[in-house]
Amino acid sequence: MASVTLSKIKKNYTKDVCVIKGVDLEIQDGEFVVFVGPSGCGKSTLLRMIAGLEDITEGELRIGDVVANDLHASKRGIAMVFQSYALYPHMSVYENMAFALKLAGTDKAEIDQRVKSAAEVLQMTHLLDRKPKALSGGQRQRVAIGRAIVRQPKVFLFDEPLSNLDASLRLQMRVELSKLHQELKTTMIYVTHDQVEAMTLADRIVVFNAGIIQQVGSPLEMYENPSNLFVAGFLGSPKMNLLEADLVAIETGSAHVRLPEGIQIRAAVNASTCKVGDKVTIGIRPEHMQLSTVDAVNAVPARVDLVEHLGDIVLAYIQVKGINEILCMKLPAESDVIKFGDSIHVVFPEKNCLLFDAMGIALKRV
Amino acid sequence: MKNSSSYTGIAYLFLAPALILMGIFTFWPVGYNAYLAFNNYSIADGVATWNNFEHFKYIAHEELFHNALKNSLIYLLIVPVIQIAALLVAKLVNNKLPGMTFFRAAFYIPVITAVSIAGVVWVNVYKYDGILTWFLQMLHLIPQGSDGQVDWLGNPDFALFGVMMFTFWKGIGWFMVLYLAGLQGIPKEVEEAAILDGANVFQRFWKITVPMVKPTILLCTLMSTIAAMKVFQEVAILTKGQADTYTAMFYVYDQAFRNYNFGRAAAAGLVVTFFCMILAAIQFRFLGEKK
Amino acid sequence: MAMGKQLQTVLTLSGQYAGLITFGIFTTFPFIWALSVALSGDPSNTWLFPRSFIPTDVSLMWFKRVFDEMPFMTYMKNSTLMTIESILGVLIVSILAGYPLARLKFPGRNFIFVSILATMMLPSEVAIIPNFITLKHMGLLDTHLGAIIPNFAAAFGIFLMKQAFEAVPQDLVDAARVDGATEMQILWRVMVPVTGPSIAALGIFSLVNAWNDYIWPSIVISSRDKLPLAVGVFNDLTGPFATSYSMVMAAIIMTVIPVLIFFAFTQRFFIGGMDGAVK
Repeated sequence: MASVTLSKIKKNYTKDVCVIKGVDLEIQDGEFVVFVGPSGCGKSTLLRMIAGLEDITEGELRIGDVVANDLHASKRGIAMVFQSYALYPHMSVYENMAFALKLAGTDKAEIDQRVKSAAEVLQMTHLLDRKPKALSGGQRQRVAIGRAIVRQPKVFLFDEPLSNLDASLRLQMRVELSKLHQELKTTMIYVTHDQVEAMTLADRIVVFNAGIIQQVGSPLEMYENPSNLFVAGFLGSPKMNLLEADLVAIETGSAHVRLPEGIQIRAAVNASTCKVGDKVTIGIRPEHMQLSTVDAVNAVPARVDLVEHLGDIVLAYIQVKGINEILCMKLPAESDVIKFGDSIHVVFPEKNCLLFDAMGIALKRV
Repeated sequence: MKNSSSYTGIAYLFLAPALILMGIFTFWPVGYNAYLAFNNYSIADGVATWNNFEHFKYIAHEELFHNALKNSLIYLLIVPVIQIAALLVAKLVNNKLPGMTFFRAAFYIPVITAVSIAGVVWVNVYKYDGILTWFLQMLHLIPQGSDGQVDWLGNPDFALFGVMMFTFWKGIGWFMVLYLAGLQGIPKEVEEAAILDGANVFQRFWKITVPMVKPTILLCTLMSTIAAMKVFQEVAILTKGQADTYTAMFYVYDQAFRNYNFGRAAAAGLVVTFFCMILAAIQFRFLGEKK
Repeated sequence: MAMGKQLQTVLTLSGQYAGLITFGIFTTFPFIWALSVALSGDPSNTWLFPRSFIPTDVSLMWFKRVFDEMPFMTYMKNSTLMTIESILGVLIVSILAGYPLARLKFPGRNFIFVSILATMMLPSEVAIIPNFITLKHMGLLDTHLGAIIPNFAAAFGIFLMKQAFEAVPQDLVDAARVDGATEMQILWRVMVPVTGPSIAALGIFSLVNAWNDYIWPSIVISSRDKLPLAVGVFNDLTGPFATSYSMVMAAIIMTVIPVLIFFAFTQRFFIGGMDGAVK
């Protein structure tokens, strides 16, 4: 078990192509940290740099107290689960899991004990003699994890391990991974593009975009207080509604913005860093928008464009005059009064509105 | 939609050219060869008379044929050498370093050169004052000056190996290409997993790479073995069978086109085929995968 | 620490390149020598090594003499004709045969496929005598057609096309069937265009084989003016011209260069298109 510290890590492929532009991160011993971000943002590259499969151009990597930049991958005390599982097709499950230990010269009895106990944890004991091609996707996944467990690493690295599984299996494996972390209490670094996995598995989430960390924090923190537009739009499904507006008034503890067509909204934020007339973006999550009546304060008239019934909730897509984007509202399942073409009124509760300045930075909520 | 019975007709129609040509030029010769082996064929009048295994009895006792067969079997030594070398070379060029295309092309040059043409050059390499002599003298492995000059292809102790070296040189590029294709089928992540597991270069090669290209190894070894058993062109061009380089197939050729004894040649050919099949069966047994 | 890892990388790379270069010299030295001798107007250094690897008194006279004293152009013309006919023959037969083996169900399919594969294991030289007799009966001795026809039905070509056709998505074929195409049309209008790279690979492969084919043409063709390059040049070189090594080398270079140039430009397709065959 060990902490992982990244200081000023940079990676260039050639002089012009810089994929990681300066990353500082401290991962505590035993933490489950998820690197999340869109394709090509550099999260996998960073993981592979920690693993030792890619060189670090600049900066320092520490695993535990040891500087690991030049340590060979097999000597860093890490184990990795690949997206494609990377099982050795010509070896049985037992041999796959024992391979690294055999190479290290571990004695046979010890190997046997470790492999069997890992197999028990993962409920795979009956599969030990099979070859990978005789296993299902989920089983192969578990062998890949088992192969990592037997090495008793200080840090587990996961590279999008659930991407190749179907939806229901993904859910099941997510739960198992969580339980695994609780049992082993080892530091785990997990890369994914799926924000649901990030929200459910992580102690802390690191959001990446274009080689830079956008924000680090616990899932709930990131959800409720995203530090910029990118994070706000990335976490949460359906996405947060983001609208362009003008700042018309600043008060202590509140800001007034004006949408096109004159609609005024209040947001409970500290706008002292901006001045009146600035262009801002206002954001509100689908579950916070509320249905209201025509005479409520700041009620916004809208027309229902599409209604999706998901069984437990209803998603209503509405059009507000003057705003190009279709807004999304999340309503409880009993809201079957709404249907296509209806004229409704919605309110944006002040305390749920977020405001982002012209550069995309979030204004502090009060 | 058509049902399967009408597909049969069309299938055989499409296969017809191939089957007919193969029938005439590949399958028929096998059968006719067997026929010839058991008869005395007279070229002049095209008549064959049953001869009660006379040909087989003859070659069973003929020292020339024994020797030829022995040489062909010795030639089999080249198979493991060329296969391992080809796999190693393929692994060496299987990366994205600069210049790989150039090297791959360079290694393939011997393959695309006609045997006859390449042979002429190699005859000169093996001349008593040729490149091989010079090379060995440079390394001080043989005496300098005219004392060290050896007529390599005229020397019975060396000549066969000289021809084998030529076959090695000519064929390695061909197998390298096949192994390259096989290596492309190994996912990069498996190699990385092995690196992470602590395997060094040798361990990765023998425990991961080699097992994963087994189908390619089987195919290449099989082709290489058959080629070694039936080596003929190289011998014909380099030594014309002199200096104990007489191989089994050269015997067949000689009997047919110099002695005009087709029957005897066919019998010898059958023996060679028989050996090939046994070797093929052995290889399938040991290298093949259970489907 | 950093030095250690960098040094290791440098050492590994140098080792790799050293190996590659050494092997490269091994495969190309005969030609470097032949080229040097062919370009040497003064042949006195032919047998002095390593001096011989560099041309002495660069001149093209040997090449000129080859053209003058050997019917090089005739051989070249023959080779070109025979090669083109070979390629066409192999492609047509292989494409036609590969299709039913890949996509149609019919009785006897497996048996036929295994038999075809088995022919790859036969020592083909045993077929020389029977084929010679067959050609004699057909009256095809001493003809170009006779020299190339046995190569048309090559197991390798059929195998390659079968693999290529199997990789075509069934949807394309179904769409064509629904559109009312006959099997022949499906083959030539859907399958063939889609498997272009493999066909190119097979074509190039056949080209190299046909251009360099020696044994069979030398047996079948007896008239000198019908000989292809591989046979004609060899016969002439080991006959009356054997005394002038420089001319021999010049002729060799001229035979090799066309194939080399062609191969250099097309090797991408060639090596790539053989992919399916080795699995």
